[in-house]
Amino acid sequence: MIDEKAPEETTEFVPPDYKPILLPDPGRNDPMWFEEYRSRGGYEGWIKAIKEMEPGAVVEEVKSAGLRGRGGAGFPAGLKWSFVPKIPGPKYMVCNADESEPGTFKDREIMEIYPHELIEGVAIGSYAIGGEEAFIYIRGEYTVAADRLEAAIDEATRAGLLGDNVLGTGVNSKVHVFRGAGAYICGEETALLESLEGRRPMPRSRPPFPAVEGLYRRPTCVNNAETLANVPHIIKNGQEWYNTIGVPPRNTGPKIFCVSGRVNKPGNYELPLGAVTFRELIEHYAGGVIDGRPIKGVLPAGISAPIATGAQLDAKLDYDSVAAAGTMLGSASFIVLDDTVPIPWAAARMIEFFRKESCGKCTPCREGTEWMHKTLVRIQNGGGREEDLDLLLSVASEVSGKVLCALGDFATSPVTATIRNFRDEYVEHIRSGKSFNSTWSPE
Amino acid sequence: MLLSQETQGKILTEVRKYPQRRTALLPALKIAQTQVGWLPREAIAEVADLVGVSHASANEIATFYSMLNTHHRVDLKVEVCVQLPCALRGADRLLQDLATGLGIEPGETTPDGKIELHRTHECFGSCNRAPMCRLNDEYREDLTPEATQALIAELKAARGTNGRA
Repeated sequence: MIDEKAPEETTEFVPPDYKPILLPDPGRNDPMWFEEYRSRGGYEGWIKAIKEMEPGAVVEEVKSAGLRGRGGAGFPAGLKWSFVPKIPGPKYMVCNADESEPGTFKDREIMEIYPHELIEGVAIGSYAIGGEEAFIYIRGEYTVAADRLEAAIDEATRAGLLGDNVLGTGVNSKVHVFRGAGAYICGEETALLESLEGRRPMPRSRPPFPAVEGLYRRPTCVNNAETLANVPHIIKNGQEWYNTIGVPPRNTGPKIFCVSGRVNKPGNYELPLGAVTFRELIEHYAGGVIDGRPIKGVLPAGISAPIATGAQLDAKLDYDSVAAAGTMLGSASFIVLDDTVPIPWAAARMIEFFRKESCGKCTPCREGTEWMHKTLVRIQNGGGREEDLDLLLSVASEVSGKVLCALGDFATSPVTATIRNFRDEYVEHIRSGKSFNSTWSPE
Repeated sequence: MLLSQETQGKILTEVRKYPQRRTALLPALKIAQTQVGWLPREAIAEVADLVGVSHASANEIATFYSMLNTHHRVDLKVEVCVQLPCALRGADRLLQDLATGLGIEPGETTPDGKIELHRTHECFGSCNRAPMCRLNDEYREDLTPEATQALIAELKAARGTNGRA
């Protein structure tokens, strides 16, 4: 499965003519505070929304823009907003900034460097669904980002853009920053809501969906941070402008691609959806693979989606093209493996994560991740048997589809997709009896 | 009372902040942990009383999250991320160097009780600056072999002159 093609052969690459929108100053380290954000057109979308648009018009604009959820599922954001019933009483916008998927660090850059962009998006989203109080649920480890968001909310409140009766429009908008405390499961929207309610963060069974009964049993919309960071730009510049970016109508807008692993320049690269392929992104943006080695595979959505190999790496990076190639774009967090990385070692490392992070509510996930981990560690350490591979697939099939949340389903993909693509390597490793003793290292 | 007046005041501010009191439970436990250094039973009980939930409910939260510590006081917690993106850039080497430098294995505490070294599977969102570790709440990134040695020297200095190393 190792890709034999030398990188030079694929380079008739013309970089797309594109100026980043979400992360406008690549490489920047200091936060863009209120004055600068405002002087560069910030909060114009928010002011336009509350002064010139009814909430329903905001929803329609985002729907027409074709913005899809950037957290992983790719569900149309405007459509999600439209599910919130127009009934009296509190409704809540909740921003999911619990970014904990291995390989994902895009929301961190948005929040640390452009905190106002997210806050403006949250305020507009909250207004669109008829809410007056919103939450940004940020993972506990992101203390720098959380401090900056709080400081930015204070700035915006002092400027009269948040709080009661914003700019005399009668619109009330309050945004809370709520810090998590270290739990991957909180990225799952119903577990996140449990956490916000001061309960153990374990997923709820659906229905009812959060749009109907979410936070405090009230209509609630949960959107990823990057999704909401797109919203100010859509409202300010209009859906027609947004539709000129990416591949309309189903894959519009900018996307932040996180590249990590065996590349020379790991980092966040913002490009239009569908503008480049995996291979082009790695070669022309992320500085190529270390030592110019061939790519063995790319985990496209952190460790939660099937590994992409071979011809799949020529897929354009948008939701539909990556799905058509047989994997998923998800959060677009690409972990690059070169040909030196042993697959049994990588798979054991990935499943260790799910085993430790399974919240324990559903038996198939709690027990299945434990057994998959034990089996993979046995293989990694040289004690594996050939029938272990079918055993792993069998355990995976007992987890997938038999749990309350998608995270349990995702937990099986490091196992199933690596066995599907690299069975020969597994078998060879098992027969050799070699041990990586869990400490394979690139140096 | 284990919790100081100041801590209680901060917790009550949280309680008033949200539409429902119970939302303040997690922030309140963190505030208590900041003062006490960890979350002993008495602290959890006092937080529960201030927020207005049962002690069991507070205990359920305190024992779930990795950032809440119900075991014992730790001055300096060093957590090395060894999840795949970091592991592909030398996280296992970093962990080994720290263990050798501090003279303890992952999961152990230095003999003076000051530094705990942890291997964690959790990803901290620093994959572009890997390998990395957290020193309590602070991120230390791009830990090349040289930077790791400087970090070890810094940790030893933080332990004071009586630390064995």
